[in-house]
Amino acid sequence: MENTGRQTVFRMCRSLLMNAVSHRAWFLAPGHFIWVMMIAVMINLAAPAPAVFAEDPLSSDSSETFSMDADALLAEVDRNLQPASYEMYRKLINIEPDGRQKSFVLYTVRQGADKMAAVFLDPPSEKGRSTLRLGDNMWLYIPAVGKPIRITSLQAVVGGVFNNADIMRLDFSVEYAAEFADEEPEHYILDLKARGPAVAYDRLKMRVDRKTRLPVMIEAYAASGMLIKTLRYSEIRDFGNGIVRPARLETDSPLQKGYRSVMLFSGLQPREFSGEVFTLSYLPRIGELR
Amino acid sequence: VRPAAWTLLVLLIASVAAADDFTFDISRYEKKPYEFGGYIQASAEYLRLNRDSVLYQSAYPDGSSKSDDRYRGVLELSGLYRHDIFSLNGLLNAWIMEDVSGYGDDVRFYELFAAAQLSDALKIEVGKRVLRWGKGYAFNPAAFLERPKNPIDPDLSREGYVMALAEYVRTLEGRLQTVSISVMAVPVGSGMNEDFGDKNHLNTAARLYLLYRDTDIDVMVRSGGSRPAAAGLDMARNLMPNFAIHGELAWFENRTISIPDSQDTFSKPFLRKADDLDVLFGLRYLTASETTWIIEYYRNGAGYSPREMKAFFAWMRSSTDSAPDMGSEPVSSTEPLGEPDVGQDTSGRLIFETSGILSGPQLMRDYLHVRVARKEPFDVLYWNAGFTAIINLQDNSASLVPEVIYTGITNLELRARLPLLAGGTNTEYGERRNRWRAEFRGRYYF
Repeated sequence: MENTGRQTVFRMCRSLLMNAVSHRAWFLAPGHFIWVMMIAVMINLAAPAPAVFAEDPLSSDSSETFSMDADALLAEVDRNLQPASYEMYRKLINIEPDGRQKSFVLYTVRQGADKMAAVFLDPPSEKGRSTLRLGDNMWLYIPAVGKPIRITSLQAVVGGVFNNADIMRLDFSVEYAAEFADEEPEHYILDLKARGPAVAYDRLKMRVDRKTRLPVMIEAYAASGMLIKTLRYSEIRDFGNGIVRPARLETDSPLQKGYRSVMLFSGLQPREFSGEVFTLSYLPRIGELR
Repeated sequence: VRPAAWTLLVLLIASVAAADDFTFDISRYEKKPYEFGGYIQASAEYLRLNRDSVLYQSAYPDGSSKSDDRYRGVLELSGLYRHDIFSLNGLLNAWIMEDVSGYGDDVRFYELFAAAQLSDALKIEVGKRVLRWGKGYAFNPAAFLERPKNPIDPDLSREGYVMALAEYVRTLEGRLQTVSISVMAVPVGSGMNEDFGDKNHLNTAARLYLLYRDTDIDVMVRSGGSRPAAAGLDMARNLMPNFAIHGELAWFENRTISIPDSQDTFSKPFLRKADDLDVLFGLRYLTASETTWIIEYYRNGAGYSPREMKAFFAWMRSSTDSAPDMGSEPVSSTEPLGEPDVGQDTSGRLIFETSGILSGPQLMRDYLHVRVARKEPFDVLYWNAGFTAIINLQDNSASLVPEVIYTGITNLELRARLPLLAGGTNTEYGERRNRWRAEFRGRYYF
């Protein structure tokens, strides 16, 4: 625990200095800036490498975590959740405070780090509604409209606590940079910072199971620091092809008190697609890939 | 009391546990050879009439009605049959209506085409097909092979045209991410696409789509024949994650419209050359509170000037003549009636179109479209509120449409609208048949 305390002090000092620099406090007294930078360099030299646990006394293999990189752990979490290219089915269930439920079924395909498409299969009112994501570009195709329109990941596709960012999320490691924030006997706690403005949540706090390297709980925060929603993974299941991961994700939000949403995963399997599948021309026919 | 309390507690826990026992059987959603779907819709409207307007005098010659009711039913069926790389696709639309003028109905296929997906990159389609070109939400001047859409209700189904179409798409690495090219042929003859324009022409068109540096770009052309030759360009791009811009340019060769003669009549119709160019540009902005703003400016090159519009209304008031000759970009709408404030006569057809004078629902030249839509206001799930305004910038008249939509019941969509028309004498929206209208619509999907 002594090492943990030292880490915390280092992190606090580094954070204070970087905040001072980023807010241009040095500009008021240029002479102080040199001292600040010297102290910053010394602290950084003395401190463990950024985003790395100096020591993990709670782990049975402390040498492993000593060399562990937070971004590498996040990438491992991603690979444990799903292959780089895959197809899967998801069911979204919105539950209202009075217990009423509304369900949606999606078929999703992904190729590599930044190509993803999803189509609603149910209910009939949403059937055929498709979303394409190419990196930060996102389009929505509604059969009645008859052509894809550009949308943002911040926009909700259907009602409920889940939004586009949850439904069309790329790998966490693509959208976020990771740092170790804290630790618990059974979990790593990762602090994820959005890599760009197109990412829906400014910051995530992810609790990762030490043994399975799978996420257990995620808190999503706005840039203001306000908690937007909490996501909880559960029901670890063997999907075949070596994929063992949670089959259920549940979310609630302090912004929508009493409402919660559940996402069930099924039919997840590796599959390769041609690039032409991820085009506006193909978008109305994504369901044909089933 | 204690056993009863325990029993109640156990039942409560069991009910909570049962409520969370969600099931998901994906075998229901595997691809099948056949697919069917659609919706059935019923709507009721109350129209408060504008007895001083031109269209009122045309629709109610006796001048006795202060209000009108209208009831409509619509059934839309979509079907799909798959076999290997081939598919047969259909969209059937049927409607009935009753109002002061009586009963009307219609049944027709909006789409019926065969498709062959030869590879992920290449497809061929033959039959009646609906195309949607352009990036505008309310207006699409570059939609060269479509019936015009109603800017107040742009998502209404529209009938397609019979055509043959081939499309090839290719993805690339680098700044140019996607290229697709599609070519199509639209024959016009007796019994086929007759309302597209002059008969006995094989009209051809092509569209090139590029995704270049995260920008959607379309270039489209249409050969002359049944309608004037045309070329268009559209673009759309996200400047920020929540802010996108779009635009369209459309150029028409020797486009003409009918204008009144020197005596403000159409008894000797005179075709004036219209401006060659239509322009549209707009933006879409999403606020942190999930309010979407869509703003568009549209320059309709084939629109009337204020003087021509005034002469047109004078002719409408006085004339019992037959309709004058058509302009060169004729349009016929077979939508299920559309909105009466677009300018319908009592038969439900767009009166300016049936008179054959203008090329679409937009009569004049400069329009501003503003739509504000708030998803789930006050964090109440499944409720959406919206407000749409179409403003004629030349005569300052406007159509204002507040609406609420509820989708909380699975497969049922309930919509209430209160379209208001603002404008004085000889203005586009001031001369419409009604001052305001209340509409309630229920649509059930299956």
